[in-house]
Amino acid sequence: MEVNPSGDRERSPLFAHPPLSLLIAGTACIVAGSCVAGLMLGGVALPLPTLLEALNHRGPAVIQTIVWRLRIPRMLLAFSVGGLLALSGALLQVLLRNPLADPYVLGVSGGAAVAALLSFMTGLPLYWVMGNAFLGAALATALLLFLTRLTGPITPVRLLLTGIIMASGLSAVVTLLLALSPEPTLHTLLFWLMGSLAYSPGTVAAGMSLPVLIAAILALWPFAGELNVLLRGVETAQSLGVHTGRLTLGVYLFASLCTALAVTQAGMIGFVGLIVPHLVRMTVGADHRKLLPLAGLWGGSLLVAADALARSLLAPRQLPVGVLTAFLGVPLFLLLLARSNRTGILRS
Amino acid sequence: MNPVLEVAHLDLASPHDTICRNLSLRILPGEVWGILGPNGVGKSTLLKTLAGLSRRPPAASIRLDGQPLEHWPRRARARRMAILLQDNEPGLPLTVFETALLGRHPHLGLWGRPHYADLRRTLAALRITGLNGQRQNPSQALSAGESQRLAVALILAQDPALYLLDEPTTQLDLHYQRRLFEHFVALARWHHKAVVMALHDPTAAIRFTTRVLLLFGGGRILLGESRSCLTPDHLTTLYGTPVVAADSPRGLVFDVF
Repeated sequence: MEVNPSGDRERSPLFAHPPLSLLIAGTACIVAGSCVAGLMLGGVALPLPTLLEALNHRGPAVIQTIVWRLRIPRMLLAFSVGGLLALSGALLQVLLRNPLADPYVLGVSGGAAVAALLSFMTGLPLYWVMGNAFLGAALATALLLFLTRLTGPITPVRLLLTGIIMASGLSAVVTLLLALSPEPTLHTLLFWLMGSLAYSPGTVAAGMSLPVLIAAILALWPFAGELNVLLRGVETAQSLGVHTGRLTLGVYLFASLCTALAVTQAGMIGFVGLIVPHLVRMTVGADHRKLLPLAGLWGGSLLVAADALARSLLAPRQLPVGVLTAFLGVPLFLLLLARSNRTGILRS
Repeated sequence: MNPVLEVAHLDLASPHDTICRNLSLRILPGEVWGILGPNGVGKSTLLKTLAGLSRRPPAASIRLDGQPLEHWPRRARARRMAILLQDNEPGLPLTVFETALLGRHPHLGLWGRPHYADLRRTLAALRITGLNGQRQNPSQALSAGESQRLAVALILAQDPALYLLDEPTTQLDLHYQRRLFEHFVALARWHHKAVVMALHDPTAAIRFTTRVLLLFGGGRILLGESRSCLTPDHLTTLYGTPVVAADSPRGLVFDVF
């Protein structure tokens, strides 16, 4: 490929990835495009002029209600859930230095789901459901570390294996709880667990998740350089002046919080946390100063688009959005796997 | 001259053996140290202890620039001392340049935004290690030898006063073995850096180091000038296999095979 490796490549730019201005413009297009699609598509497809009219509080009252009362909250919800999932995936991947880490795969989502389900079924108020989901996610993460440590040294591969086992165990608990739950709520719980934005428990939770997403990105952004160093392993990071203990703890807490919020809103949506960080890495590289905000924004856009499809493909029937992300995610993942020999993304 | 690193009365043990008892040494700027010993004798453990990376800090005093190691803020310490570890995780795909740039991390602010001088020093490190032509490639696409050179480039970019190197030339071809040894010797001689390296090749040790520490296992050590310590007798005891010395046009050569 390169005839003279010390010739042209010597003068190539230092950073291989697209310039910042292009990234910002591209991301703005992705976000805007998905949001417009999210508002236009649905049970009733709205053409762009009608949508703009309704956004300006003109036109038929029904359409205004659909846009302002239904589609905009739904779009914001989808955006924040997708962003939270992608962010927690990116965080777990650097923590475990494992490209296959994802809250869904490791049982972090499962922990949140079990805790939320138990709280639903015992009739606790909404803020308890959310708080317990956070505790469930944090406990699942702590249990993951504890079980891995109990059986030997903490290595990325062993951590991943323990996580997979825990995820299947927790999913059995979820099935058990569903089997025990009373008939009238079963359908709702089932669809919520499949990953659907239609059963979000309420506006309080939805109103919280977008600020939390933004706060998490802003809080972690200054430490992006340290996360880059952490990619070389804990000991190297320590020798380069990083307080790995503090950093790891903070990132774990944020990952648990993001997962818990996403799960209480929308159940178990897989693949967003796995696929989006990899898409970002393929486009802009693994530098966390770019990865963290872009994972949040792209993840949000992906879920908005997927949710728009889920609402409109078989309208008026709504598909669980988790099914759609899986349909998108599986081929994308296989594509990544096929390219990984060249790009080295999944080699470990 | 004040020592860069000063160790007093260090007792160190691995889970199954004593590494050293009551070890005291002073590493001066401009010195190149070699640590030799058989596999598993504790060379890496000793280096990590000197770097302050061991989980249980030893009771003995290890002083960097006269200050106890544990009193140093992490980042300031990383500007004075670098360690090349043996097992480098490949990590997720940073490019070769971005990986070498991580060495500048202790010199950067919280945001980690590099300045022109940081980029220039990173580029220089990549040139020395012969990786400049591959600087845009993902770091995991490198071969084993190239990965080792990248790890060396990272600590060269770090630019400390003391280099602790755990088998710096492992996996390297002969050209790069010589090139990197000569570079570290030049850093010591002309820039008054101190270099401590764990080595397996006694010929390289006698050619490039000024002082050596031989770890025999069971807590027995030998410390001194390279020329007086690296004798066929000592090396035969050290490795448990006959080692003979021969003269070559470039100096003493140790023959094992």
